[in-house]
Amino acid sequence: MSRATKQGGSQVVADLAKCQGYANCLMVDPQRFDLDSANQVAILRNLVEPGEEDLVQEAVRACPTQALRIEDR
Amino acid sequence: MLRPQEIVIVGGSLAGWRVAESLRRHGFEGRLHLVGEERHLPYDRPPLSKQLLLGEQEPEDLRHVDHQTLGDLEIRFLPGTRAVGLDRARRRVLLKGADSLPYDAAVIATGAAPIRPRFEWLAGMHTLRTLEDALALRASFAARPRVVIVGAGFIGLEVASAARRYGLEVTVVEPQAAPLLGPVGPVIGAAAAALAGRAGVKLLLGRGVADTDGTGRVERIVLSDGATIPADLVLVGVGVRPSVGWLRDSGLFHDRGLLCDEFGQALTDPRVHAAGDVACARRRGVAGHARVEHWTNAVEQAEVVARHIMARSEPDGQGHAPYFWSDQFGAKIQMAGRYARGARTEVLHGSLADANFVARFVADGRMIGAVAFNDARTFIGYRRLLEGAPGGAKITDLASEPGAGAANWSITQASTRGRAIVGDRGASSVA
Repeated sequence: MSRATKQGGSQVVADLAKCQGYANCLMVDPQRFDLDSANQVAILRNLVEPGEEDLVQEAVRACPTQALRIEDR
Repeated sequence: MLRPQEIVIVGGSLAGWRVAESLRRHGFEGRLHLVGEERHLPYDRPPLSKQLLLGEQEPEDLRHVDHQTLGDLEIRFLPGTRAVGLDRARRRVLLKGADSLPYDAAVIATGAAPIRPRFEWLAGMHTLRTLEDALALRASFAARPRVVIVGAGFIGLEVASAARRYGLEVTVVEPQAAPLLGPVGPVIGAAAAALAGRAGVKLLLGRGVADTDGTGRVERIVLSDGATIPADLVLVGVGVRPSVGWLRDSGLFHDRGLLCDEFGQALTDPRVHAAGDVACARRRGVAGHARVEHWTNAVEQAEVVARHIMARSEPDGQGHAPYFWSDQFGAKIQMAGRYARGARTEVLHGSLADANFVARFVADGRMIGAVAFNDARTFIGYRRLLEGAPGGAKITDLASEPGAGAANWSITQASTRGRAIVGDRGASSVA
């Protein structure tokens, strides 16, 4: 779902089987999340840089279908 | 108030669980009790009338959290435990039986419960709020009942949608002139009626239900004009009331819900907060207090409450415009802000007839709400405008920015949070 690297850190990934396009993540972090033409989440940037964790966490928690998660790279 | 050492959250659904989780995330290290009347782990309710009813999801898919995580967070979860009172002088939550829990801070998140009209309540009659309710409804669909739904609100229409997917005969009875009239008004209500009609639902508008009839089980319902409709299964969806009966002797009782400010703090007791459907809260930029029975509201309010208890509040409290969704008859309905009686409905994109549109509600020269059927992408720009202006967005702002009627436009961010500018990049006439 995203490019693998050897570095540590974390990334945000989406489960498209769960995403219903409610777009709450876009409301929290519009620079990272968008909707594609099928009205499902498109993650513009997976990598979560230091200092971005809180905002990404908030977007993950805002998802009504628990379709987003943060995982180690 | 000093930082609390012992917090009791009453209500083990979305708002209660989220307050607990947020308190830990914001550094609360004291004792934390989560009291749930239901015997289940906190679970998600919106799918009950959608995916669960259709058999696309099972109860375990709806869990917000498992025992392992509750244990890791040192949240003491008490399922199947009913709170019966709040003794504010002794600062104890009274539980059914003789038990009570001491608190420095209490959070009321007991939600709301379906209104039961004064019909004779016979076998075969349902309301829908809990997992058990949804499973009972789903099981009873197997006998291929003739379904009558009382009330064309969101729950009623979603159940009607599911019942039609099972191929059942469905009649919806609604005393108002259109479904969803209160939340979306007559124009969008008519679009919802057309959608239900195309799916094969028989809508009886402008007629109430006078009573039910049957021997032991429901067999028919009697309308206000005396007509009867055969019914094997009746779903009553005529709204909910906040679950505050247990607070009757607390001095905080109000039939509108737990009255609180924009931080979720009770107006008359700084040690008590409320979140979710039970909270009758102030909202920044909006006059008065209101309950908002939506998922997103519960999540936002839970975060505001946890931050406030931990003295980490943003200075302005909850100010987002309400947002909710509904899935019915193949349509994804989304709404932000509100509709008010007498507001003008303007279709900005798409067409009502195709059930593919974005419309806004305008009152006193301001956009107070926006609603979309099957157009989540276009809708997001309007939701953003409303989120920055919970009391309504000035139409002059809109006229210069989003291009009412523009078929093709994009969102340009002004900042990473909150306010954004909707930029017109299309050239089309106003609808």
